[in-house]
Amino acid sequence: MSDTLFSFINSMGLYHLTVGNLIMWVIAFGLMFLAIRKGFEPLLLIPIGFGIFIVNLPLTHLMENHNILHIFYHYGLEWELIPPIIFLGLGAMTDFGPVIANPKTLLLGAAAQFGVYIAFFFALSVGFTIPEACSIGIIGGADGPTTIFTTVALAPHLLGATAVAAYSYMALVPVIQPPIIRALTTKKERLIRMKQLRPVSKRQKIIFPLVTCGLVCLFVPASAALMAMFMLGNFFRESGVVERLSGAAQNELMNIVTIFLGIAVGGTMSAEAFLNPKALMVFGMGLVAFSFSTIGGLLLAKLMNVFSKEKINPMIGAAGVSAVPMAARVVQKMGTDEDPRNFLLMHAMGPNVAGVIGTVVAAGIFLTMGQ
Amino acid sequence: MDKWAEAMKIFTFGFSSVFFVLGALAITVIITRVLIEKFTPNPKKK
Repeated sequence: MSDTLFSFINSMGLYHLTVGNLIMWVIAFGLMFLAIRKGFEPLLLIPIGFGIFIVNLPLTHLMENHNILHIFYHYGLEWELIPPIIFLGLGAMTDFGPVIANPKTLLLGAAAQFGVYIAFFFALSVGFTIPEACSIGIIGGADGPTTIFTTVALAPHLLGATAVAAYSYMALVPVIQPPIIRALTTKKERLIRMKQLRPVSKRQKIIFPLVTCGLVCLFVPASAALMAMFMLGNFFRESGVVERLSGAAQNELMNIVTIFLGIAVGGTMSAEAFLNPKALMVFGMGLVAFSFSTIGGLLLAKLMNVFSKEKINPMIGAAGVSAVPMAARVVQKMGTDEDPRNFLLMHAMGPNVAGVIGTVVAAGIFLTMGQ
Repeated sequence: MDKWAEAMKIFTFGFSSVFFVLGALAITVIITRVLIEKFTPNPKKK
């Protein structure tokens, strides 16, 4: 009788609950709280938080062979399927008009990859290997799917930490960026008004995704999966003749893969995998990456003003981190705080979408050289 | 190869490639605009 009772108790998850599981529950509930109460990236933090919660229920084996979370992880992430599909949807949602109207903002998107390399060196200096450092550095691009794509290929054991760091910091852009922007710009610079962007023809918008896809994939073939899908989505949008495909890419398809992405990422965050010094260091370095990316964009914008007759508001450089459209909205808000009639949103969208392309290029180089 | 030498190589090629590719894209966008404006008939001109 006592043997039966003991084996019954032993078969309960409750008996196997560890302190690590409880800590992970706190993290899961924290992410869900931020999503529900503060509205921080709810589409991702809700499924990620729930994934963390259920993978830390003992004896459920959800992340083991042929169980539900493992299936999502294996086919969605290990097969590198979900990040390119997310990019297809992002492309269908993105208007490249501001970049086409003011092409020099592409350089601001490039400068904002500075933090990627600072975090890369920082990670190496504290003992990470080169593939791990590449996966940590790419957090600085502020691009969740690209971070996941790079980490799965180079350091899959860090996936949970890098993905959650990338999405958490993206959500925290309105908190992280303003103090850095204020510290590096003068009031006079923040008051600079920019000329209205010139109109962009439909023909230019149709040609842009074709040219960008060809150019980037010819130079950095390792980035083709992400870049090709990004530009295909945008081509759907701009061609104007496949509204159903464009709509499906930005709505149904995007929503479905977001569920699988979030829950699969959350599933990688078991207590054994996540509660170690390496994973915690990834969070710290993600913040370094983000901050230096902001600084890189700002400094190049200031440098451009030295050589250019037509001044740009250096705050738009900070939008080069590719958290779209959050970073551009931060710049808009800071602009109107200084001068209620200074509208910088469309100007900031240029570096913002250029940052996405820049991060994909940086990831492609990491995938080529960081193996 | 030494880890730091490898890292410097990745940084040098990586960061310069990001600027090179986005710079090339900026130039291509400008050239495309000029070509489109050149070959698109202006409705105001008779």
